[in-house]
Amino acid sequence: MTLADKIRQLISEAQEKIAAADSAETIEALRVQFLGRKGGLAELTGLLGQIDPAEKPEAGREANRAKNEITALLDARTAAVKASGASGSGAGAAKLDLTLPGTAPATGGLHPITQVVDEICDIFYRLGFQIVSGPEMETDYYNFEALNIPADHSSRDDLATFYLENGKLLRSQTSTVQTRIMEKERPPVKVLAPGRVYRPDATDATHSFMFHQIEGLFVDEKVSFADLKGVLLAFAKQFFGSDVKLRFRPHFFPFTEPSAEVDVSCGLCKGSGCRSCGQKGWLEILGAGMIHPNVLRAVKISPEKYSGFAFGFGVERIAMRRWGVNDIRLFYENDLRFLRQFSA
Amino acid sequence: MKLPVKWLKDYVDTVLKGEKLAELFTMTGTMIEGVEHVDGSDVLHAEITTNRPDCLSVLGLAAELAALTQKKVRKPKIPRIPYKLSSRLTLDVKVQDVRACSAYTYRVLDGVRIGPAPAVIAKPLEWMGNKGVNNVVDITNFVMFESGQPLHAFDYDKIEGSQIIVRRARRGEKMIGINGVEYALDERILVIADAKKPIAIAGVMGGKATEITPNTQRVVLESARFDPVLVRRAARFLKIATDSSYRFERPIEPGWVAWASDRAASLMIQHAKAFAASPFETFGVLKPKIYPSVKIFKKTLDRVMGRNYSMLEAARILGSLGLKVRKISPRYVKVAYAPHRTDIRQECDLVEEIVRVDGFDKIPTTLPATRYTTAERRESPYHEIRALKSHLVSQGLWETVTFSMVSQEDLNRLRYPKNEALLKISNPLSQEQEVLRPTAIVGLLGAIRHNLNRKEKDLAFFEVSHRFYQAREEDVLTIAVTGDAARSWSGRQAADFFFLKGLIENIFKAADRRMPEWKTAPMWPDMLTGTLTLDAPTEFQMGFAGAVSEDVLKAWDIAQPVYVAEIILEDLLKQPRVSRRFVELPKFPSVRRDIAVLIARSAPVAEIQKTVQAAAGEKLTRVELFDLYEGKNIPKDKRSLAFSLQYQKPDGTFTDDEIAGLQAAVVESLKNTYGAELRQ
Repeated sequence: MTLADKIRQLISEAQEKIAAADSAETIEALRVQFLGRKGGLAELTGLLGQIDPAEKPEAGREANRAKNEITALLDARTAAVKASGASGSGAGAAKLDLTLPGTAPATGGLHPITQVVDEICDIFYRLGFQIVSGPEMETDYYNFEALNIPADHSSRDDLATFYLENGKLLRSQTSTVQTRIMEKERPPVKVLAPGRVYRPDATDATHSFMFHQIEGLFVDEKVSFADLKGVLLAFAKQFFGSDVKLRFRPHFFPFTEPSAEVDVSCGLCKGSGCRSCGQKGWLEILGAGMIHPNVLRAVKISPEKYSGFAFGFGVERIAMRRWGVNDIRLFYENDLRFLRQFSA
Repeated sequence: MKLPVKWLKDYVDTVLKGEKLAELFTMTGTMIEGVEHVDGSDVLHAEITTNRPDCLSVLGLAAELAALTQKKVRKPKIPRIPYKLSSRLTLDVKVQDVRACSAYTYRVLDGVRIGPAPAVIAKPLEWMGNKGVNNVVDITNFVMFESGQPLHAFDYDKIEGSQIIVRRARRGEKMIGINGVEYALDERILVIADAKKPIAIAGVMGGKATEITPNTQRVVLESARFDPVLVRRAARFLKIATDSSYRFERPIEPGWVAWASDRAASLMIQHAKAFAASPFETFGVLKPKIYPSVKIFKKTLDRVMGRNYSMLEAARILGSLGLKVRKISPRYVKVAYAPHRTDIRQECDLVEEIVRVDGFDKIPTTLPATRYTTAERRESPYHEIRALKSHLVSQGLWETVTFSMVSQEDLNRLRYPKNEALLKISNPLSQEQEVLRPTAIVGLLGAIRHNLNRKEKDLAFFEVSHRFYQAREEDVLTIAVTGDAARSWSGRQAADFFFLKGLIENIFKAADRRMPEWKTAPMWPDMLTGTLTLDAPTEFQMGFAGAVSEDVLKAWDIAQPVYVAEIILEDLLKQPRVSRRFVELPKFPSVRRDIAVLIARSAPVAEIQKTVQAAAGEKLTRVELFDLYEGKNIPKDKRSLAFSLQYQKPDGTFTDDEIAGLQAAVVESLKNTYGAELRQ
């Protein structure tokens, strides 16, 4: 057997052993065994000076090849063992535990109220409504007078509205935005206005002195109650599900006429009556109506030429129903254990 | 308002039973919240909207049902009430406040036998949930529920001086009500008084002193109109809500004043052996005000509702509601003003009546054509702010919603400057919410304390809300961080000031707005230490970031450092967008060299970087601080800073000498400017 043959034999021996190696330690041991200073290859190349000069070139080439090939095999095997996480056989062998948690920084979350507002805004935005906002510190004019609310109306009492020492007040409804927008813009006006509102109600599980509303407004030529029904149905189908039904009940609001309270069929019992809807089959979701001509006149829009509708949601109520939250106060405590429930 | 169905049937015929009736009322505007069964009758619980005071009575709801089912109402017939001139009893009545009491009437009934009420009176009251007292009192309540006009009965012989004065109470006056509770009165409250004292709070409750007792023989039957606002306020001040005040809080048709008195008198004659000892005495105006007729045009009705209506049908509906139809044409219907429907004054009121009776379900469901607006569209910040919020969420922050109102105490504990203007609420619910917050930091500190108390130590919050700083309302983004920003088995990052600073810089990047310069400037120095402000072109700062001072943390019971920032969103969005222009990628490789220097702590890194840049010139394309070391083996007033410098030439590669020269210039400049020493 020539020296070259012996080297080739070494290579195949290495191939076999490296392929079987299943831990970083074993691979390191093989590296020492084959390529170390006192290893197999070193031992064979040490014999180069003693052989027939005619065999020398071949043996030299094979020695080089052995070095490169075994190194490559060891490296490849190391990478493979690392990637597969294969465990070592020896006691105390290191182990790559892929079940360790991921380390990218954790994300936070949007407040559930914002999530409901955003979802509603998205739907109406697709229906062509622009999202606008208005001030929370308001005047009597925007909160009451321009909305056709008479001077002696009970909602103006200091038991129903917060007044400020500077003569202004905290808006008790987002309907204030109606007048503010229509003063600035001529029809078509098609807007949605989410925001905070304030009422001096004693706090309990379903009442808070601060809460959120969303006001919708559409004014143009020939806007009708039929359109109001259509827009709200389009919204409800997207928000509650395509099998939802709406029920319009006549109601009274000073700034719309005719006015309606709108109920949505109960998602649990589909209208047949269950505990969630108080056996009624319907859940009230919003108030709506055709804008009162007095409101249009106040902003110098002719009710003979234009008509429009307005509607308003209470956001907390929708959020409470959606997730089964049983106490409105939880929304303002900002307890992480609460907030985490609304973000993946 | 409770509505016993059996009682209702005394006035209108109907075959409808409880649930069906509830459905019909609900779908035409009288919401029935529930149906209960009380001793032989279904009782509907009706929610009466404020525009329909006429429905606060069984007769009113009977009229409504008659209109809906095309039936007629049977209003009780009242026999003429004779009185004996020989035994005439009188009272001296003075209405001092005629604005508060537009009509006052009374009649005296003599020979009254007090006893239990007969079943025809007692049974309906039982259905209404009203506990019977005696025949006289029960008759006044019966007629109130029947007609909507509250009545009151006084014991004639207990009215001192035979005087009735309708006046404002005097401060310091007191009255014990029929419920036995003593009420302290003042000039905001309208009372019925005799010669000496208040004997009733007008429209709300009668007094104990003149109440009907088993010994009463002579009764004063009062029927009057009081100002709804005064009654409402009196009921609220005194915290009493009665069936009477509930009805007086809304305008009652004047026509009921006389009818109800007649009806009650005739019932007392019938059931309490009474006889009239006075004529029906009236003061003020009993006749309703009459307003002009109203027309409804077909084109309005069709346009607003989105369907075709027949004017004949419209006229039929209006007529069924007791409105007098003056004219019907294909174009319009004209109806006379009806005093029992004070809410019907203009065309839209008629639109509402027609469609609610006809049914909203007969209106089609359509989607409106959308015209593109011609008005110049304001740029709504909603979508941009929303994008910023989700950016912050992806940075690990949680959004909060905290109250806009805070206590003065909260601001004191925040060391908020005492000389700054604050907006105060004149009718706060409690001292906890008496001031509009000048900064949302109050709310976020509250949220942090709440969560720390629940063993959550790593908190990063933001809120987008309105603040009322210096009495101006503005939209702000407020951030508060504490503990660790990121922590895992492989390492942690503290939520410290520099994390906060980075967050804010990222916000400007996310918003694609130019980042204003940071300035080292104090902001609310008692509240915050180590603040940076964002320079704005206005007189106010655009925003700030800083550490909450230890005093404040102590006052809030927070035991770990908290860092807060607040940015005015309008100003942020007003910052110019970063203009972008493509630059050719370099054709030659760049060279990277590190440099570490020992330098005085007092030298700000931002300045050092500028010095480095100036020394190396435009060939230096990037300077990055990659290590900072203070402490062991370093003099106390020094620190070690290591920068990574990147050199780039547009037209070739560098020689070793060139780079060495640039590096030497940098070192030289740092040595000359700051006395820095190169570390090897």
